Amino acid sequence: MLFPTFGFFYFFAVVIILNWFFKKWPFFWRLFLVIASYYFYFVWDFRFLFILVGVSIFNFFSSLAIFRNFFGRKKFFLYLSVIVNLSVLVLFKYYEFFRASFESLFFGIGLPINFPLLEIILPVGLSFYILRVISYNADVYSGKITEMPLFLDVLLYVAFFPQLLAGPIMRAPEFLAQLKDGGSKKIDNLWESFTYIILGLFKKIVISSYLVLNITDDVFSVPQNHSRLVVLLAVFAYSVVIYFDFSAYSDMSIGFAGLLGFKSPLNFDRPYLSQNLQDFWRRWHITLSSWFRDYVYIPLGGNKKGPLGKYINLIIVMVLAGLWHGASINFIIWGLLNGLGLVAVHIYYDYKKRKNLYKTENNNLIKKFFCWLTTFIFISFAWIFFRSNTVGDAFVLIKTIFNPLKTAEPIQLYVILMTLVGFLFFIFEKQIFQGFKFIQEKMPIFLTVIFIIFIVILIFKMSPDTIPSFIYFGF
Amino acid sequence: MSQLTVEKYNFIAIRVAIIIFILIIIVVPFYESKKIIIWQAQSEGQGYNIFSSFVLQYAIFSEEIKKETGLDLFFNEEYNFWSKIKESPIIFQQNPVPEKENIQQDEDQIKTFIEIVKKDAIFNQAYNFWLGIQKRNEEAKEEQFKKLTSLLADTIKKQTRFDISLFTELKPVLEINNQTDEIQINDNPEKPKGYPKQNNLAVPQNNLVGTKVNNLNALNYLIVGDSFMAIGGGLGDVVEKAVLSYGNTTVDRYGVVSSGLSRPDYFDWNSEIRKLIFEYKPNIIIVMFGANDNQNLTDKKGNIIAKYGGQDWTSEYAKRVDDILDVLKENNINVFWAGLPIMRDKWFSGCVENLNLIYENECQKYQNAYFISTWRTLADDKGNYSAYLKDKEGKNKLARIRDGIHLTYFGGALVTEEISNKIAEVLNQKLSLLLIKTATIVSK
Repeated sequence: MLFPTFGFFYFFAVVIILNWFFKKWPFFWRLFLVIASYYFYFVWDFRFLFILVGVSIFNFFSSLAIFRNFFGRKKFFLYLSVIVNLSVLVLFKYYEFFRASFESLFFGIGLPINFPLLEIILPVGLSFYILRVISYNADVYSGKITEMPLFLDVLLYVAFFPQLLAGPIMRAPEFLAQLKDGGSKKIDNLWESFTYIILGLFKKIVISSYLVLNITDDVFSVPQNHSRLVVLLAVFAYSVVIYFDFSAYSDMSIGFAGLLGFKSPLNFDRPYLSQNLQDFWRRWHITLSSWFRDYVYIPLGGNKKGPLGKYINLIIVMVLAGLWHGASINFIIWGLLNGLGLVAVHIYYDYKKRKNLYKTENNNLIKKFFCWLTTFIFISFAWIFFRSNTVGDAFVLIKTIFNPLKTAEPIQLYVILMTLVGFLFFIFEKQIFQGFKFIQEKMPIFLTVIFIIFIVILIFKMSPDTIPSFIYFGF
Repeated sequence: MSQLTVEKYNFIAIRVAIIIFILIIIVVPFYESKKIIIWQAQSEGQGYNIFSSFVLQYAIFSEEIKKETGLDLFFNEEYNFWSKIKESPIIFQQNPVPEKENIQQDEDQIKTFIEIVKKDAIFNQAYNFWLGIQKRNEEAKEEQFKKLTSLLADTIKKQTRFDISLFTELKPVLEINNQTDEIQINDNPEKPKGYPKQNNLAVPQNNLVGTKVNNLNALNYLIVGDSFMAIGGGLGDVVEKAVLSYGNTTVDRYGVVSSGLSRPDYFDWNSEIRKLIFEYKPNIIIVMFGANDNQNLTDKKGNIIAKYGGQDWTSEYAKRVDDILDVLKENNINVFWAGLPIMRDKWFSGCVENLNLIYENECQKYQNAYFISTWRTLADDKGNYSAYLKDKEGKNKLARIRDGIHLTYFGGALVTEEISNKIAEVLNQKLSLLLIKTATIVSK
């Protein structure tokens, strides 16, 4: 089920009623949420459910072994759990990539070995819940979880439906605390949750879908058939698309979880307003970058191994983050580009620190604007590798931007308009959000109810006849 | 706030949230019933979703209520209003080239064309071949050659646009498939290496050219179809790239997800194709339909006119195919109709086989239509469905995506090769005919 579908709204209407009905009995409430989440996942493909349940059960026992320090070998169980979880991910996500690569490699050295051909389907959301369970085991190991959670709690942590398919990647201590004694007995931020849902709907089914269908999909698959202006527009439109698509999912996830009484971590903090790449990665897909920081970068030694060690670690982390998105060279290049960018920023700041130049820094508007522009162009450029089907396609696209022969082609005015609206949205997102929330809070309740329904209808009115799937479902 | 009011507020908040959701699921699907029915046709693999089924039933029920109460007039008008808003104006529209310039360009291009004909191995060979038949002496050769080329140019000028443009296309096409070339090939050690990249051949414009002219010399291709031709189906963009690589072509692609010839109430290809012809002026059209057509046939208003599986279904469906082919014939457009590949689901595969039969039969009735079977291309050695197929080096590669219907990039490339070969074959035949015709004229 996708969030912006009516099927989901019906499902959620039933869930929200029963969620608050079962609140009085914490056990049944958890059981109900687990069943609801499993149904939500089952609708995609019943086979996926077996994997989800299998992973959950395994991780309950592995965490138990770590928590109780079985045979005095909790470290062994931690490694075991990481290896098993990663193997599941590798099998489903990277098997085809490795099969083809290894066959070519062995063929090259004169050993024609054939691996079995498995028509493997990547279960949707797998990449996200594997990260969740790995961090859960690590948190049990490091003592961040002081009380062994119940079996149902672990099942719910792995499968909680608002966050199951594409995050935010919530940490276990944070989530499990919210399950205690039947969780929150109230909806903390009613209007904020609705604002998240409505803005998420708007971002996804009006702006992102429209741009995907009318420009980015076409240009990124056959860039050579387009003029440089349109290709350039598509590159910037894709920056809009990926942010709106993904942050829309996160927003809706936060909103729906909020209506069930859960608090979710923030996943995006107006990332395109960043002044440098380091800042960007603190604001973009926050739960993923902080996951990589805490469970990869810091265990690798972080910034404690001297500047060179730090730079190498940064590049390793970014390449791994790229690879997490998918098994292909473009994601590796995308990660590498970001890694190198980050290293450049770090070198610059390290240099400043050494020379004690911080005090003399003047932050005038022009400099800020220049920093913002460079960062934004760099990020948009890196997205080219992220979005293109192959590395070859990415280079063709870049070449097309510099092709002097074809300058203009017919284009829908709406596409330019939507891209501009997207840019304005980046800048004023906070104000729009607050304004929206303010209207709902200040109006009489019955008017607010009518207002929300009116807005939802309006959003569906403006939607295209096809809604493309969320980009991050593919990861 | 006192404790009591906080509790009261919490109680109210939960109720308000529930009420809003109940109202949303009652009001919004009623209002948006048309869109729900359209979206429902697009969702795949959600068979276990009782909620979606329920929404669909409710939407159908809402549509009925709207019809009975006369509300449908309002909703139809409203739907048109929003469609108009979404039909945004197009900017950067290129202006047609003025006529004066055209004539000058034509003359220049004819000169260039003759130069190229002289240099080109294939034309030379054709000429030699013809000379061999005529058994002329050496002195006559030069004179004859001049005559031949000028006559070729003349003939070309009088021909329809498609045949003329052949020459633009010839080189890459012949490179792909020169086995079918019936012309005897001499081993000429000084073979010129093909056309210069930016060639400007003589292509006088016929009356087909309208307002949108991208490239006067180019052969215009149009690719249309369902999700296979849209992004994600795995074929449309691969074909588009292949056609672009022929050089000197313009390509436009129009793929609509979940569309077909069964449900003109959702998307009416039979009238859309007329608009597209008017807009893009194609010479060649590549078509693929049918993956969503194993369902009841409706008219434009959504009333069922033939149930799937009956005899009347086949004849009505064939009529719709015929209608498209008729339009293309009237406009002098050559159509390459790609059949559907074998599918993983056996029942669906059977449906597709039937559809392919209809396309093949109808294409045979038209001189300008060519059916391309892709069934064998995407089947394994035993003729069964296989997600993996061997590439030229004998390596297994994934050809189908997880739905067992659509194609991976590799699968798309296999089908594209089939389509390219067919186009090459047809263009070659046309060239041979043209050369023989010219040779006959010259010999008289």
